[in-house]
Amino acid sequence: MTAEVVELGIPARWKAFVNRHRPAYNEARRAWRLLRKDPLAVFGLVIVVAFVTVALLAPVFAPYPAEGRGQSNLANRLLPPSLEHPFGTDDFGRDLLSRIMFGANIELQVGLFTVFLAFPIGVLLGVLAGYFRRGIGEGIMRVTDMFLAFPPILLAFVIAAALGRGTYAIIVAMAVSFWPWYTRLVHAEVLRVRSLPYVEAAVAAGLPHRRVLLKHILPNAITPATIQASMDIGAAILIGSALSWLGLGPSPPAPDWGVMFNNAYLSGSLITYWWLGVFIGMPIFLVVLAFNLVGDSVREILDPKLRRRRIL
Amino acid sequence: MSGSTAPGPEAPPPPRKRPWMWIVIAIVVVVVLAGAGAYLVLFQPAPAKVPTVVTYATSSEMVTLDPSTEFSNSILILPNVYEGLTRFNPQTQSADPLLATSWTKTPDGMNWTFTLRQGVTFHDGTPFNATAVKFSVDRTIRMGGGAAFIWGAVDHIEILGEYQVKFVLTYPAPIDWIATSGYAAWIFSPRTPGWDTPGNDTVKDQEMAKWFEQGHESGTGPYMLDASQYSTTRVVFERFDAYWGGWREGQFDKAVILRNADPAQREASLKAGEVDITIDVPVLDLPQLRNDTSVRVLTTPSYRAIYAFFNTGRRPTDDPLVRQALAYAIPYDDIVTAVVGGLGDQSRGIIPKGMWGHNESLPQYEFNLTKAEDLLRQAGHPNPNFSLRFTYTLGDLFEQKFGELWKEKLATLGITMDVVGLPWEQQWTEAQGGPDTAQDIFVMYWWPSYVTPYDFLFNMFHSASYAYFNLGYYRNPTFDATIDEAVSLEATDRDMAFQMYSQAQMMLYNDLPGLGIVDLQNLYLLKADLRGFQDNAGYPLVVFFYQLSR
Amino acid sequence: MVGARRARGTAATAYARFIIRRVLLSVLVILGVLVIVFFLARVIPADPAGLWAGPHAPPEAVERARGELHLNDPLWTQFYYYIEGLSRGDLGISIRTHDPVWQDIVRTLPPTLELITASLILSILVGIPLGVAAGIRQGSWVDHGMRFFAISGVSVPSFWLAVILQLLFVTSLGLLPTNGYVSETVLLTYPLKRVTGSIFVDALTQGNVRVLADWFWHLILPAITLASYPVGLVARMVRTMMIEVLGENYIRTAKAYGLPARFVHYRYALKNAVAPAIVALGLSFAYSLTGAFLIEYIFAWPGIGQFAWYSSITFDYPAILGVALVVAIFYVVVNLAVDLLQAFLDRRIVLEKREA
Repeated sequence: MTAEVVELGIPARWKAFVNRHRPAYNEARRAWRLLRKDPLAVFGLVIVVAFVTVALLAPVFAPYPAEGRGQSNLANRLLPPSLEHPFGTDDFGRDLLSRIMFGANIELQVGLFTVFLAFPIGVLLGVLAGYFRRGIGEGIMRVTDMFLAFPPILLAFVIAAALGRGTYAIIVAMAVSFWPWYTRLVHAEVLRVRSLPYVEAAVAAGLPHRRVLLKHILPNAITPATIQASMDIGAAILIGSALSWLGLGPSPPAPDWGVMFNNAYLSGSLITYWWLGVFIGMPIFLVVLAFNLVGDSVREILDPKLRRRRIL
Repeated sequence: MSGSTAPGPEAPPPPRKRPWMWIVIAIVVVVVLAGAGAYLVLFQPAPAKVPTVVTYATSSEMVTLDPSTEFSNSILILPNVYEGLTRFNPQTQSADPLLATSWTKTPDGMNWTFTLRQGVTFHDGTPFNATAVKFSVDRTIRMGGGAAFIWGAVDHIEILGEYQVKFVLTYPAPIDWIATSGYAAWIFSPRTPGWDTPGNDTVKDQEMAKWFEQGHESGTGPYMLDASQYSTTRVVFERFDAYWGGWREGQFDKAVILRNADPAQREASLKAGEVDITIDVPVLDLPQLRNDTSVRVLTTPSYRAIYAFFNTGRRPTDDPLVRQALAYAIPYDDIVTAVVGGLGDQSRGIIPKGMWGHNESLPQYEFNLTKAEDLLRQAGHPNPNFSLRFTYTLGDLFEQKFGELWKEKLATLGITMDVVGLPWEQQWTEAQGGPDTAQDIFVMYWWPSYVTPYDFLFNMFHSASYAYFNLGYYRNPTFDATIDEAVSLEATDRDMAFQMYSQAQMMLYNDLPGLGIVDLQNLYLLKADLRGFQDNAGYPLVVFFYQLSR
Repeated sequence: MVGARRARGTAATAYARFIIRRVLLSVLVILGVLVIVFFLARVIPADPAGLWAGPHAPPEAVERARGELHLNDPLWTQFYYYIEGLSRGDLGISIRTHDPVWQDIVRTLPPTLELITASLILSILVGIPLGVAAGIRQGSWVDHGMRFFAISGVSVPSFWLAVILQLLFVTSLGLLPTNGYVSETVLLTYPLKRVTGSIFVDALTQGNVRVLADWFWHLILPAITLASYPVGLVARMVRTMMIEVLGENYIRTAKAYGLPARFVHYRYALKNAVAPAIVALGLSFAYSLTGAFLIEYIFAWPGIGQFAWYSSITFDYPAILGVALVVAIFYVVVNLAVDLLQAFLDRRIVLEKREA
C-alpha cells in the first residue's frame, strides 16, 4: 500500500472504509479469487455479464431494432436461420435474434425486481420473528406457513389477474410467493445467532433492540438468505417465463420470452419451425443456469462447512 | 446436523465382503419378475373380437348432456345419439327429413303438421311416435333453459295420429328449420328414467336431468353413450344395432370423443395415429400437412366469424367518424393470410359467407390509412394521441394476432392500442359493466344456435341484448323493428325477410357499433384412410360417426 | 425437533404434545389459506354464471344461474355457506364441469400422484448417486460435470424441456407416445374397469398388463421432465451434505484406521447426507401437486394441476377452493411427517452416539 494518498480524496476514503471493514474485505477478495478458479462460476459469470449487457443495450446490439420492439414484417414470415437472420424469423416475420435481445430487458427486470421486492420483506419479517419470539414472532411464522401452504399457481394467477397481468403483475405475484422462504431462512439463522454469547451479552448490557438487531444479528443472519436470493434471480426468471407462457405476462407484441414461446408453441409445429422452439427456450435456460451456477459457487465459497474440506 | 463424535479409539471390524451374494439375489429377482411378466402377458385373455374404433379429438369440454337444456359444447355428442324431426342441409340450405318424413304448413305459417317416420325405436326399446315428439318438445319448452327460446312461437302441440303431430303457433315461424337446430330440438324417449318419479312435472324434469347428467341418454340415434365411461373430456359411444338407418360394412363399432385443448397436441396425436380426426390444428402447419399423404386436410365453410365491437357510449369511440377511421385501419388481407392462414374471408356485413342472409352485394371496409387519417381529421383529431383498450379471450391466437396487427397500423396514425388478453369470464364481465367502465374494443366469435340471421343480429345488436352480447351498446329502434319484422317473415316470405336483413346490415355498416372481421372456415385434419366424412355447417364441428368408415 | 432433544424419559408425552400442537396449528393454517383464497379470488371482477349457463345462453338463464350459485349474496354469507358445506364434507359443485368438486378432485388427484411418485423415485435413484459421486470427488472434473448437470436440471424451463424431449423421443426416434394418459385403442381393446382414479392401481389389481404397460409408456416422458428439478435439488443437497460429513473428524479417523473408503462413505456418510435430501423432497412433493401443471398440460396428463389451472382461468370458485384445500392439507401433512421424521432420525443418532 503506497503512501501516495490525496487528502480527503476518494482513494483515501476508500482505503479508510476498507480498513474499517478489513475482515469482510479480505473475505470478499478471497471469495473472488476462488470464484475465478471455478470453471462453472466463470462460465456463469460470462453469461450473466453478457445477458445484462444485452438487456441494457439491446437497441445497440440488435440487427433489426424495430422488429425487436414488435414491428411486423409479414413478407418474411417463418424464415429458417440464415446470415441475415441468425435465429430465423417468427410468425410475423420479425427477426428472432432482435426479439430475444429486447426480451432480455424484460427478463432482467423480472429477475431483479422480484428479488428486490421479496428479499427485504422476507428478511425483515424473519428478523422480527426470530427476535421477538413470542407473540409477533409466532404470528409472523404462522402467516408465513399460510403463504407457503398456498398452491403457487392459484396465488400467481389470482394476483396477476387482479393486477391486470403484465410484467409488473408477475413480479408482484412471484414476490408474494418468494418472501416466505427468506423469512424462514432468516428466522432459523436469527434463532441460532441470538444464542451466541456476544449477542446475549449485548442484550444483557441493555443495548436497544434496534442496535442489537442491526449491528449484531442482521449481518450474521443474512448470509444464507443472500445466497438464496442470488439464485432466486434465476428462479424468478424461470417461473416468470412460465407464468408468461400461461398468459399472465405482458401483452403481445412484447418480446417477453415466455410469451414468445407460447406464441410459437400454439402457432405451428415446433418440429417444422424448430428454430422457434430452440432459440426462444435456450436463452431462458442459459440465463437461469448462469445465475444458478454463480449463486451455487458463491454458496460453495462462503459456506464455512463446505470451506473446511477445501482447505484440507 | 450430523456433528457426531468419533466412534472411539477402537475401530469396528470391516464387514466381510460378499459381493457374489448380492449378484445372486439380483439374478433371482430378475428371473422371478421376468417369469411373472411373461406369464401374465402370455396368458392374458385376448379379446374375442377387436372392436373398430374411430376417435375424434376436439378442443372443448362436453359438460351437459340434457337434450332439452344443452346449449354448449356437448353438441358434439348429441347429434350422434339423438335425432330431431329434421336435419339441416347446408348445400341446399333447407331442412331435410330425419325423424319426420314430410310436413305441411298452413299459408299463414301458423300451423305445421309433420308426418313421422315409422319403424324407429329408442335405445331403451320404446317405439318412436307422435307421443314421444310432444313429450320431448313439451319438456324442453317447460324447462325453458338452454336454447328453448327457439320454440317461442309454439302455443301447443297436438297429436293427430300415431305418426302425425301438429304444431300450433302464436305467430308464424319456420318450424321445419327450427327443428333442425342442434340445441333444444332433440327427441327423447317418454320412458326416460326419472319421468316415473312421483310429483309434479318440475320434479320429474329434474330427476330426468339428473339421470342425463350421469352420462345417460335415451335417443334414437345410431350410437349410444357408454355411461360408465363418460367424463367431460372423454366420451365413448357404442353402436346401436337396431338403428332404423341400418348398418353397412366398414362402419365403426365404437367411437370416442377426446378433448385436448392444445392444437399442437391434437395434431401430434393424429399424426402419431392415436386419433382419427381432429379440428383446428395450427394453421402454419398446413403446407406440410397438405403434402403429407397419410393425412387429409379439409377446409369447409362455417357459420362462425370474429367480430369487433366499439364502445359507442364513451369517447373517443362514441363518434361514428372515429369508428369508421378505426375500421379503415384494419389490415384485412394480412389478417386473412398471416393470421388465419388463408382459412377465411373478410366479413361482408354481419352474416357469414355461405349462410342464408349473407349478401354479397353489401359493402365492406377496406384497409386504407389515408382515409382513416381524413376521417380522424374530420372528427376533430388531426393529431390523435388517445389510447384504446382492446380485449380478447386469453389463449385465442386468432384474436390475439388480429389485435397485434391492428395495433401496429394504429400506431402509425398515432393511436395507442393496448391489446389485453383476459379469460372469457373476466372479459365479458368487464363489457357487461356498461359503456362507462368497459373496454373500448371487445372481440369475440359468434355462431348461430340455429340457422337464422336473426340469431346474429338480435344477440349482437338488438337493444334487448344491450350490455349482454350487444357490446357495442347499440340502441337503434329502427334496426330493432326491421329485424323483428324480418324474423316473422321467415316463415312466409323469405325473399322479403332477406331484403330486410340486408337493410339492417346496411344500418350497421353506417353506424358501425361493431363489424365482422373474418368469416372463418372449419379446419379438419383426418387420417387418409377415413372415409365418408362430410362437414355440416349447421352443426358446428360435429362429426357424425354414422357417416364414417375406413 | 426441540421436543426430541428434551426427551429422555418423557419421550412419549413430549411427542404427544408436539404432535397435538402442530395439528392444531395446521388446521389454523388451512383455514387461513381458505379465507385468503376465497376473498382474493373474488377481487377480480369476473362472473362464472355464464360458464354455468353456456356460451350463448340468454340473459334469463345467466341470471338464474347467478341465483342458483348464490353469486349475488354478500361475500361473507357465501363464505359462511361454504364453510358450513365443508363441515358436512360438501365441497360444492364445480361451475365448469357441473360435477361435485370432491368428485373432480378424486378423479384428478391419482394421476398427479402417480406422476409425482414416479419423478420422486427417479430423482432419488439418479440424484443420490450423482450427489455422492460429486461429493466424494469435490473439485475434480467429475464434480464439475455433476454440478453442471444438477444445476441444469434446476434451471431448465419445463415447457421447453418437454418440447425438446418430445422432439427427440417422439418425432425423431418414434419411441414414445406424444401425450395422453393411456392410448385409446388399448383402453378399448382391453377394457379396464375404472374403480379408483388411477390407471396404475386399477390395471395392477385387475391384472390388465397391456394397459399397465401402455400407461407406463405414457408416463416416461412426463416423469423425466418433472424429475429434472428434484434430481438437481437432491444431487446438490446430497453433494453438500457429503462434503460436510466427509470433513467431520470421525470420518477422517475411520479412514486413518484403514477402513476402505467406500465402506466409510456408504455406511457412515451417506446416512447423514441423505436425510436432509429426503426432507427437501418431501416438501417439494406438496408443491408438485399443482406445480406439475405445466407438464400435465403439455403431456395431456389428466391431473390436478391442470384441473387447478382450468378452474382458475374460468373463475370456477368452488373448484379453486377445493384445490386450495387439498393442496394445503397435503402441505401441512407432509410438513408434519417431515418434522416427525427429523425428530425420529435425530433421536436415533443421539442414541447411536451414546452407544459408541
